[in-house]
Order: sequence, then C-alpha cells, then structure tokens
Amino acid sequence: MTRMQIIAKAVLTVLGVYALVLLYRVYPGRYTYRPDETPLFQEVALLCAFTVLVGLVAYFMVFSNSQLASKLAGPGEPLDTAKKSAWLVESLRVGLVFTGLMLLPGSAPTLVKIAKTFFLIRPVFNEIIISKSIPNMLRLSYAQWYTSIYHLLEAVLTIYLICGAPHFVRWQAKHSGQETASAPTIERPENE
Amino acid sequence: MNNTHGFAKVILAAIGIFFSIRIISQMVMPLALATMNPSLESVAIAIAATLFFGLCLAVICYAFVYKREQLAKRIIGTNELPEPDSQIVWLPAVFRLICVTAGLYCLYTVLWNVVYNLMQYFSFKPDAAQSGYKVMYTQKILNIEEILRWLIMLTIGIYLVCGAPRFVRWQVRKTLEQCKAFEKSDNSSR
Repeated sequence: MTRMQIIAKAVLTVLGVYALVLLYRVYPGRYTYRPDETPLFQEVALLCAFTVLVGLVAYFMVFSNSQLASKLAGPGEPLDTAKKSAWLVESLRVGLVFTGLMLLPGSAPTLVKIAKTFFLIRPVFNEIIISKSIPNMLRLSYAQWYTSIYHLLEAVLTIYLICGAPHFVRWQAKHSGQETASAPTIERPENE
Repeated sequence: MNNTHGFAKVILAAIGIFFSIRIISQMVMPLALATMNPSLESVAIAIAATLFFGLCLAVICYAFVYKREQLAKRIIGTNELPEPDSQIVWLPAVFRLICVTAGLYCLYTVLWNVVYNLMQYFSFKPDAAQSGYKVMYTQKILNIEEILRWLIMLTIGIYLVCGAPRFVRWQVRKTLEQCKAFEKSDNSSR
C-alpha cells in the first residue's frame, strides 16, 4: 500500500461518515408536513429501503474502500509495514477529528437540549405520576421522534469523532492490514 | 508526477465525491415530494430536478474524477515540492490547521445566526394590534437556550481559532500512542 493510497483511504472513510450523517439528515420520513395518516408499515419500509442505500454507501466508502482508494491514488512506491500503519492511523484520526469538528456547530443545539433535559426530568415524572397520562411534551409524531433520535445520535457521533474515534481507527487499521496483505499493490513503473 | 501531484489528485477526487454526495442528497427532496403528492406538476418538477442534478453530477464526476490528473498538473505545475521530513513534525501542524479551519467555521456559523436573528428582530415593526405576536416572536428568537448555544459556539470557535493548544497536544499524544500500540500488536501477531 502506498502513502497516497492510505491518504485516499482515509479521505474516503471521512467522506463516507459524512455521507451517512447527511443522507439520514435528508431522509424524507423526517419531514413534519407529511400526512399523519401514513401507515407505520409504509414508514418502516421507507426507512429500510433508505438504510439499504446508506448501507451500500457505507460499505463501499467506509468498510471496503481499498480498491477504490488504489484507483483514486494511482501507482506509487509501497511503504513498509511500520510506516504504513503509522500513516493509516494518523491520517484516519486527523480526518475523523476534522469531521467531528465540522459537525459540532450542527450538534450544539442538541447538546444544549440534552443539558436542558436534566431540568425537565422531574416535572415530567411528576406529571406522569399525578395525572397518570403521557405529557404533551412526549407526545411526538413519527417524524418528530425520528428527528430527535437523529439529532441525539449525531451529537454522540460528533463527540466520538472529536475524541479521535479510537475504536473505529483501531478496527480500520487492523481490517486494512488484513485486506492489503491479500490484495496486490499497484507499483509505480520504473521508467516513470 | 511527484507525491504532491498524487496528493492533489486524491484531494480533487475527494472534492468530486463530496459534491456528488451533496447533489445526491438534494435529489431526494423532489422525489420525496413527488411520491407524497403524485400530481402531474410535482412529477414533472421531480423529473426536471433529477435531470438537472444528474447533469451536475456528470459534470462534477467528469471534471474531478476522470480529468483529475490534468487538473492536478494545472494546479500544482511541474516543480518538485519538498516533502515533510517526519510524521512527528507534520502531525501537530495538521491538527492545528484543522482546528483553525473548524474554528473559523464555528465563528462563521455563530455570526450568521446572530446577524440573521437580529436583523429579523429589528426589522419587525411593533404594532399595537399584534403585541401578543411580538412577545411570542421575540421570546422565540432571544431565549436563553439560543443565547447559550451562541455563547458555547463562540467560546469553542475562539479557542479553535487560537490553535487549540491543549486539544492538539492531547490528540497528538493519543495518536502516537495508538500508532505505537498498533505497531506492537502488529509485531506480536507476526
């Protein structure tokens, strides 16, 4: 694996993570102006179809991107194993931290809302116990639930990425090591 | 073709893929509207939007993915640029650079939000008949949650623009630790 292939791999992984966030952000089921009488089965089917699309993007850009990376980077001189793992870990971490920092402005309102939730737990429980009914605050439509869960997951992902996504980087580095050991590396022709 | 050209090629392809993702995400909206309200007009708009976005996608893929080699040569030129000496030198510099970029993005977001909301607030003409509406409206714009969010983003933005020294030091240390741990496990597994 060459240095440029490693950088291309990191760039593809970062773009893949960004694509996941963006595609779930534009998911049609989250729009609140949709008719309320849409059956749950239809919503679930739409979500499944969308998840298949997102899964394909994730598979080719995040989990199995070695071939695409070698095509993007072109030929070069292969690195030795120690340098290869160092470059892979460093470029992945840099890219993922950058993605996390860029997602931070979008996640800031969610983080404030999470902090606010701690002050709302008691009144909500009081209302449930006293009136024995679900408070209006928790009576959300499907689209509202989707949006809330999406924002919560986005905030969690942002924090994880800012921390450098250590588990993901470790997994990617191990997985890439196994993948490239079996795959042939395109080397730069000698007359170039 | 040197390493700088190779790097430029990868970055150009990344730019192409980034804009392709943005365009594909925009294509979802008209198609969703057409399926929700299947009238002749909405279907025609969806087809026109899909054709337009498809054309944009084709142009971007052609320029940034297929013709990226020529574009990279044109941008970089033919001079051989020096390469960084060691990874330990470039790592803090790259982390600092991304922190400053993210900080500028944070400050831009805060500034845009503040200016937009204040413009809306001051452009609202008070009307005796709509006093209730004004109270509701101003409460919506200038609530504590919104102001707290701006303050947090402003603080983070200023810290990142200053280079986020502690964060960069922590990230570099953790990255090098992870590299060493991975190298060790790699050697022991062999």
